Amino acid sequence: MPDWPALVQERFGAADANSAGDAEIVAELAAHLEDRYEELCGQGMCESDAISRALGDFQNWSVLAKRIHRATDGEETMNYRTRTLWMPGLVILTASMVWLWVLQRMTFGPGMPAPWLHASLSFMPYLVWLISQPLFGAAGAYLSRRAGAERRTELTASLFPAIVMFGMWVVLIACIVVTRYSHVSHQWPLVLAGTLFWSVLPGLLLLLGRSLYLRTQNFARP
Amino acid sequence: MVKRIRAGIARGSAELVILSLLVERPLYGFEISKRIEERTQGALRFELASLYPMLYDLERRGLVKGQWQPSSTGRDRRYYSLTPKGKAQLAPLRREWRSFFQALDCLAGVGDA
Repeated sequence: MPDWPALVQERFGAADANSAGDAEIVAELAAHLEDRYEELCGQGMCESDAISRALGDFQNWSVLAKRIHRATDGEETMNYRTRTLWMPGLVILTASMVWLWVLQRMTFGPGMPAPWLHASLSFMPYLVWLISQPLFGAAGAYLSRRAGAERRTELTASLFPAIVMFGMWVVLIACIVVTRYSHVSHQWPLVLAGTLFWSVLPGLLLLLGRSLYLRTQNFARP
Repeated sequence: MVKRIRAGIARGSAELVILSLLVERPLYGFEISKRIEERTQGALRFELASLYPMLYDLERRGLVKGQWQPSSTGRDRRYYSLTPKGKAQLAPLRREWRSFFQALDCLAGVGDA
């Protein structure tokens, strides 16, 4: 008869089985495997086949351990949308904005690099920020995917900063239309350029980062 | 979205199945999985990676209570029994599923299938 608790503990993760609660879980899973093993032996299966078949019933042990810990710790209180969309989206939006702020501080600070002291200076932070957008797109896809997002949610999370920017420009356009309607014809080029530079272009680069990240991944769903 | 709905249905139906079995008498995990398979003649089968997390979740929510007791073979097994809260939860859960199937039947005629 195999030592089922030892086999379970080995697979379930010895580090997680230290607390009394987890030891109880290990004992319960071991009892299940023991019953299953005896059932299979009773059906005429040889011992080694019965052991591997019983262990195979649990398929992915790391998924099982995660699910059990989620169930016992009550992690489900954070709902699906928060985990897969809002959290990754807000994380990359904040990181992206902080990065832009850092770039601006570096560029316009007292220690600015000499070659940047030219006409294009004001564009430098923006250009560097824009070039770095694929990284944020990839990070959004990674975080969302890790939380178990579907493809559409993952895409939305990756594009989150661009979507927020677009929303802000829409609000701005609405304000211009409402408050300065008579001068609106003078504002459109600027407004459209703003939408293009702060929402459409970053969005395309975020999308590029996401695509590159997904290409590196095995497409099997978590 | 479809995956979420499927996950929701699977989760809700699993809850109903487990609570319905436990209202009859306390059972341990292996017995629960065998009972489900036998009663549905193999049509429903619990993935084990789902059964135990579901039991622990029900226990955390106070719907079932697990207790180690000797089984018929003399070995200790963790028997799950329904708590008063679990019993109270079962009737509305059954009603919900009944209305769900009635609605589905009206729309898709699944009752005749």
